[in-house]
This record gives sequence, C-alpha cells and structure tokens, in this order.
Amino acid sequence: MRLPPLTLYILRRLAISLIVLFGVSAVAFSMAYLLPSDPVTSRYPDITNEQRAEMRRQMGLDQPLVVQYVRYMESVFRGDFGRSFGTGNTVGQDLALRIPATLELATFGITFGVLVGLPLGMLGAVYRGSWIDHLVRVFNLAAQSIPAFWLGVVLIFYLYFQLRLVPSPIGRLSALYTAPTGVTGFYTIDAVLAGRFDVALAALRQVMLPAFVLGLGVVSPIARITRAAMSQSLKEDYITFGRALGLRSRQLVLGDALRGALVPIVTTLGFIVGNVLAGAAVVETVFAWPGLGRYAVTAITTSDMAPVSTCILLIASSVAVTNLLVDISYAFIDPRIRHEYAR
Amino acid sequence: MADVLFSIEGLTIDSVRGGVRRRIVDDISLSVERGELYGLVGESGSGKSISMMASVGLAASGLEVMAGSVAFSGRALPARNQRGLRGNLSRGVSLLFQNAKGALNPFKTVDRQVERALRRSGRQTDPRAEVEVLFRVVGLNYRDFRGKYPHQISGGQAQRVAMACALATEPALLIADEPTTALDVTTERELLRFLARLCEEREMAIVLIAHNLSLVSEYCRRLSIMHAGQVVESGNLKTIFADPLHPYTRGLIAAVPDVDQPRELVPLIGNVWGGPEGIERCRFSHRCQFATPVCEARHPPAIERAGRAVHCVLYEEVPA
Repeated sequence: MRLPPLTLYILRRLAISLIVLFGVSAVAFSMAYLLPSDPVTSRYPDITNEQRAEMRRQMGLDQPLVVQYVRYMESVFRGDFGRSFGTGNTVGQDLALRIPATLELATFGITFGVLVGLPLGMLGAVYRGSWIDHLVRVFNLAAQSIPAFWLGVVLIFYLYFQLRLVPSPIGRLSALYTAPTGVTGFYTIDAVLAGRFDVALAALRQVMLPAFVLGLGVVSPIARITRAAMSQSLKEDYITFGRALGLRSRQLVLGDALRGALVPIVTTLGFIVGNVLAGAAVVETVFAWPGLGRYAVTAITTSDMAPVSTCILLIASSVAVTNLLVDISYAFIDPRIRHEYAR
Repeated sequence: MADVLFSIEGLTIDSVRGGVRRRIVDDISLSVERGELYGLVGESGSGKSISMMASVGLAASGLEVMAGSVAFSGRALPARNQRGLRGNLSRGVSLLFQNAKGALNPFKTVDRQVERALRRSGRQTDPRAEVEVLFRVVGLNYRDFRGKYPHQISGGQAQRVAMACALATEPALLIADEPTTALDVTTERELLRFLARLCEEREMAIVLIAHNLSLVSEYCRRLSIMHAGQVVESGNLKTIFADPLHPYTRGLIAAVPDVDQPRELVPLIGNVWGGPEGIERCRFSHRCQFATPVCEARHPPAIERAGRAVHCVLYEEVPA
C-alpha cells in the first residue's frame, strides 16, 4: 500500500517523537533519582536507621534502579503518577489543576509575544537600515535584557500598589469569584462558555500582567528571527519578479515574503513554547500563579520525587509534541518539504 | 528615430556598500523601437542587468541612481524616482530572469501564479480560460501543469511559466535578462526562437541581455555593447559585425568562433573592472592596445560614425 506523502511524513515524525519520549522518560526518572537528597530523610528527618530502611523498603527504594524504572513506567501508563507528599494529593489531581493554569498563562503570553514580535521583525526587515529598524532593535534589546522577576515586581508595585490599575497579583481569579468549571480549564474561555462575562473579564484582568511579563521575553527572539528571515526572503528573485509584474507591495511582503520566512519563524516559535513552559516558574512565583512551574519548583526544593519526575516528563513531552507540531507545520508551509517523501 | 518605445538617457548608478561609493553604471543611453529585438551585450559584471533593472524601477538596495531618465511610450521620468518608474512601467514592461525557478514563488502552484499575474493586469473576464490560453501561448499543456509547484518542473518549463506570467500583462516591452543561462543548449535555442517569434507576432519589443555575443547576433537587429558600466558601441548588428570600431567590440568579435571561416581566436586580456578607480575615464583603457593618456582623462560621448554610435577617442574628429 502506498501512503500519501503527507501521511508518510507525519507518521515518520510521530515515530521519531515516540522514541524521543521514551528516552525522555528514562532521563526524567534518573534525574529525580539523582537529586542529591533522600526522600525519606527529607520527609522524616528524626527517624532511626531501622525505620528509614523500613520506609525505603515500603516505598520500593531499595530495589535496583532498573526495577524502579520499570515499575514507574508501568504506573505512568496506568495514569498513576504517584502521590505528592507536599499536597497530599495524587500528582494527577494536582496537575489537573495546574496544567490549565500554565497553559492559559503561556497561551496569552506567547500570543502577545508573537503579535508584537512578528510585526516588529517585519518592520525591521522592510525598513532595514533605517531609523525604524534601529528603533526596533533597541526595543528588542531592552525587552530581552529586562529580567522577568524584576519587571514583574516593578509592574506590580506601580500598577497595583500605586495606581490600582490591575487586580491584586494573587493567582488566576480574585477570591470574590468562584472559578468556572469547564472543559478547557482556561478560566477566561470557560467563563465565557458559561455565560459569566464578568468572571471572564476578571480572569482576563488577572492574566493580563503575568502574560505581558512572560510574553515580553518572547517578543525579542520572534522579532529577531522574523527580521533575519524576512530580509532574506525579500531579496529572493520571486519577490523582485512579483514587483516587476506589478503585484502590490503589501501582498508581496505580507503574503509571499512572510511565507518564505515562515519555516525559521515557526522553528523558533517551537523552541519558545518549550522554553516558556519550562520557564514560566519565575513569572508564576512573582504573580502567585498556581501553575506547573511553581509546582515543580516547590517539589524540587522539598525533594517531592513523584511530582518532580512527572513535571520533567511533562515538560519534556510538551517539547517533543511541540517539535512534532513544528515538523508537521513545515509540510503545510513548504510544498518542497511536503513532497520530500513523494519520490 | 522611427518609433521609439523605450529609451534610457544618461543613466548613472553608484553602488554604496560599507560607505564605499563606486560608479557601476556610467552615463549609458539606449533606445528601443516598438516590436524590435534589441541586444544588450557585455561580460559578466558589466552592469547590463543593473542598468535594465534600474530603468524599470527595480534597482536593488545598496544601489543609488545618480542621474538619467527613462522614457516609455513617450512619457519620460527621472530614473532617480524608482517608485514612480515602477508605477509607470509595471503595466507595459515585463521581465524574465536568468534563474526562472527562483523567479517563481516556491509556495504557489504555477497555474495560480499565472492567474495572479493575470488578475493584476486587470483583464479577467474568464481567468481560468485565459490562464489556459497563456499556457498554450508559451507552449505548455495546462492540464499537465495545473497544481504543480515550481520545484516539480524543469528549468526550461519554469522559464516558460515565468513567460506566461510576464505575458499576462500584455507588455509592449519584455526585458529578458539572460533568460537561457540556466538552460541547456537545445532548450536555449527553442526559447530564443520563441522570443523572436513573440516579437514578430505580438509587435512586442524585447531587450535581450546576454554575455554571449554570438547568441545575440542570431536574433537581434540592433544592439549595444557594454563594458564596465559604459556603453562602448551601439548600432545595427550587421554593421557592427562587419566593421567593429571600438577596440573592445573588435576583441569580442575576434573571440567568437566562426564555423565557415576558421581562424585563430583572440582572447581578450584583463578583466572588466581591472583598471584604476576613477570616474572620468574610458574604462576599457587598461585593456586597450590603443590607449592614450586622453583615455585616462575622459570617456568620450557617442560619436556617430559609419551608421552607429561609438564611444572612443580614436574616432573623434581632430580639430583642424
């Protein structure tokens, strides 16, 4: 049977992702294992050696590493990620609350970053070498140099404590409202679906500032890759030919040249998504955002093994999935990549 | 002149790179009549493409048009006004590039690209049918090429698709910038014969830019020869071939093999930009066996002589 090239391409990428995920699970497991602290000792510092040995036996920590790994993977496939000592819940329960929180924050942040970074980069490419280009570069440098924890604190100080322009930075929704329940887990969307526009607005106001701080770190890499890739594609013969045919400049820049620059831009976006998911911890801490990053940091500092390895697994998987999506998007952007497997 | 369609007057272009200014096109003029196939010949890097691109308002970034004007269908515009030129000429002038595959958008199917050019031209009673007609005109079967991307067709086919795009606007002038360089010899012949036929049937003027003099000599009636950004000689092809005046033209013709009368080929010595940097000089002087101190001082204006224009002090009337 001969599969269509696009299907073949996607299947191949999928297979590669699965191999990567398997490797990641092993690494995630060993990383938690290699943490320089003993989960039993850190939990119960005052127990005797006999008690400790008994505990370790009960938890299966006396078994060889491979056996522990196999057991761990078995339970992961059953959907059992273990129990967090810190929260007392299963890791699955904890994550069900925290993943949507981080995803909502990251979605708003990345969307903001792309909506600002892409046009900035395009301006830089179209007006390359002019004062507009220089202005964009200065802005990029500034956006990139400001650390998120500092900016977050400064903005909270001025916009909340001084000016009261934003609600208090205490997580996803002020205590005045009950959190909406819904399928997406995004408070803003769930509230709209439930018809509670006041709640949606409150949630939106709450996510605005942390998303801005998170998104500002996205602006500069997106703007820079867009500028570089667009400068290149604007020089291509097909753009000149289009101009010679009298096609509109706007169509050539926004359509043809942007399309030509899209592969590197999407690649960078893929990196960014991984970085943001892994790096949201800082912003989540500053804004008391009950997300994945803060959960992971707390777990690491308290040697809470099950959440640590699950978070590593989760973040690594999200990177693998993002890469898969990026690879698949190539095939849709560029027919030459799509036809690679047709021969 | 009979029926001048397109003319360039005193076009001068500088390149500015890293703060260094160089004159790369020095005061060139030429005029093309309606429906003729005009040759623009010179070695690689002699400024042929740059001049023609600038004359239609498509000067590349890093180039600065210093002087000159371009007239098309009787309307003259200063060449410095690139945007104006583009606006004025994009309807009546089309281009073909050396690298046809690069000239086609790699992300769009070829039929959609032709359709887009057609839509831009404003005549769109029945785009689908007209795209089919254009494919037929350039000798391609529409059914075979519909839905194909540029990377799926050959270089010669790509050049024909590019031609279909170029013809969509029904141009009065086609500037073909070494359109056959990337093609094999047979395809090259086919394409040039096709261009010559278009010229006749559609009364469309073509400027054929080429570095190969013998190629141009088969198809063009008149030509200009460029060297290092200067036009050295221009006029009727037969006249020039029979009796080349400028030392550079002589060198070029001596380097063309002739099957009927085999003779020793004489290579041209030196390279195009080898001479000293100086704006006011004949830029062939460092390669010229007749060079005099005068040649280092100035580049003479066109001298009408034996039915053509030649830029060489050898043919200046000596004041009595």
